[in-house]
Amino acid sequence: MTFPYRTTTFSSWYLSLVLILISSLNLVAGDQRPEFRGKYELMSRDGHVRLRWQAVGPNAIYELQQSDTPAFDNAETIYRGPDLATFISGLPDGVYYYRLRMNDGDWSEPLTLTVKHYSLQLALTLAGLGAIVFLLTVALVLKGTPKAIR
Amino acid sequence: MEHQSYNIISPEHGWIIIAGLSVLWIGLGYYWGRRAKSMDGYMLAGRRVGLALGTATVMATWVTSNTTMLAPQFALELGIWGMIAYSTAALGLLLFAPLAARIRRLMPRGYTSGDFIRLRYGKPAWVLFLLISIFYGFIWLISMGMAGGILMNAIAGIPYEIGMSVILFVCVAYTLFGGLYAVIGTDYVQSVLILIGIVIIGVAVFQLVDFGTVYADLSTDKPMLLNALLPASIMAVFNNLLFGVGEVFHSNVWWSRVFAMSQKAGRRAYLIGGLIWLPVPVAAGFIALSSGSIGINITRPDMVGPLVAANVLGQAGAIVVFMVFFCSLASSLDSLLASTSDLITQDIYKKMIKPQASEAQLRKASSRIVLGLGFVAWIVCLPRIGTLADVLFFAGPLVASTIWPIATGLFWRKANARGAIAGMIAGSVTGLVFYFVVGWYSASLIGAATSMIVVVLFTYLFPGTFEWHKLDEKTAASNA
Repeated sequence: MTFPYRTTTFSSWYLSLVLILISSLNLVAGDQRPEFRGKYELMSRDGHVRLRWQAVGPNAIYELQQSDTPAFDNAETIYRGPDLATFISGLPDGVYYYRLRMNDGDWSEPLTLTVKHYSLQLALTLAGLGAIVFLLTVALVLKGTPKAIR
Repeated sequence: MEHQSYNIISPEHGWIIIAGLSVLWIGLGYYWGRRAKSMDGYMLAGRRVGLALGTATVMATWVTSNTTMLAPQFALELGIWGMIAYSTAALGLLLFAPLAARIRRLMPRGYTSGDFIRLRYGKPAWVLFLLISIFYGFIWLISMGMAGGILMNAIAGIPYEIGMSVILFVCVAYTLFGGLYAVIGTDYVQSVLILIGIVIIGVAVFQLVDFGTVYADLSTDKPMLLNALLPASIMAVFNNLLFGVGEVFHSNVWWSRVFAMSQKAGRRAYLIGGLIWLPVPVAAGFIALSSGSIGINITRPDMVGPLVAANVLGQAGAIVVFMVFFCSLASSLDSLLASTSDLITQDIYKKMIKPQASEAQLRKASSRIVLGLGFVAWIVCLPRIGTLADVLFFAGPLVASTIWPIATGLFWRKANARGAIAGMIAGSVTGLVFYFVVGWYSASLIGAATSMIVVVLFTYLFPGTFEWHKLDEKTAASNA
């Protein structure tokens, strides 16, 4: 491998050194992969989740992708900007994968979210119970109303 | 704290609005507070509040930060049913209307909800009720202190700690000066500003946001928000309804207003206030559903309402939004400070610590309690724990467990202390178990259901024979 910035004069050598330093700095910055905060395996019973990530550096633009496969086929960018969190809701049952990168650098380790909604049977049973309690409360108050305003 | 890339107005503009409104509230609080020459004046605004002021204070107090910030959060998390779930809290006010008339009739010279429980069920039930009620009041206070900080940070970029501190300080200051006179007076002005602001925001959002686009985007990106069978939201509907009923039925915020209003005004004020409040959460919730179509990244769900409204309306609109939120916060914070202070002054200081206290001593104690509540709330709010929903709904099963002890206590002679105590304990415990096992969606619902079953069972097994005239403590004492 040849040295790409080989020069013969001091000023050219100095310039080459600066260019090498700059290029190595860029390389380091590119290697700075953002990380999600908290666990990388999440579970949601109501179809929403709040993802947060660590700040990597100033003026960083983060890109967050979502996919339904671990290989990120058909990945969709759901956020691109400077914020350090996003709130996702309305997801149906399923497994979702998220990855993050900064300034078009390398992707983070993927985060896995499993959405499994509460059973509809449980929800309807509780709603039915709630309706009974409410209607009985209304009946109690309405029956007492003539007494109240008399 | 996560960076949020949408600060709509500059911190300087934010500070100007805060300073203007703060001076207005403190000035009005001082002006109206001069009328409060006796404890009846300070705590209950002289017991002569009419229909207009009564309706305004009911509406303004119930349009809390939780309505303007939590209702959009409900919509963003739970979709269409989430909006409806939040608006069911209006039923708490509507159902309380007949109770208001009954309370005023039975206790013409009452002071607090604690008075009712003590006279109706005796000391053990009273102590348990005070624990629940003061805990709830404090949780509500914290949730609103947090909301103040979040709001100012989201819209104007003012640091959370500073924004939260300022709103707590302002509300403590004018409540301290004027008691319930100041609270109800400022509520009137605040309710007018809130209604004007909501109409402006509503008209602008409906003109600027295309319904078809919002629906299409939701169908693609957040399909469960449009699903009528989303399990969590189905549970949330009756859970929130019963939480709202429990809040209104037990809290001294609402009882103190009943004692402050005339008998006829009280019932009508609660009916009209409930009806005016009903559409507010639906309007607030709708704008949250449009956040995706507008392209706003939401870093915290409780920020969605102010962020979307302010972004859609631009700089001028953001100022309206900021004022509406500031008014909704202040109108609830002041009420809560005043009523919780009344509860502690009357039920703990006067009844338990110093029964012979003079009016001047009571007034002094009340002022210190307002200051203490504000300070403790400030300490707890500083770390910004959880979201508004996490904080508020923890108290849900506790307050829902008081619905049946209070309602049966007002209408059934046979309702008894054992049933009330067992109902509140069983409802609170089972509700909290469900809070941790299933989630907040079911906690209040289970708390209310368990309490109802226990109260009815104890009424059937150990029927009491309560004499209603015992609730009019002063008349009973003078006759004796």
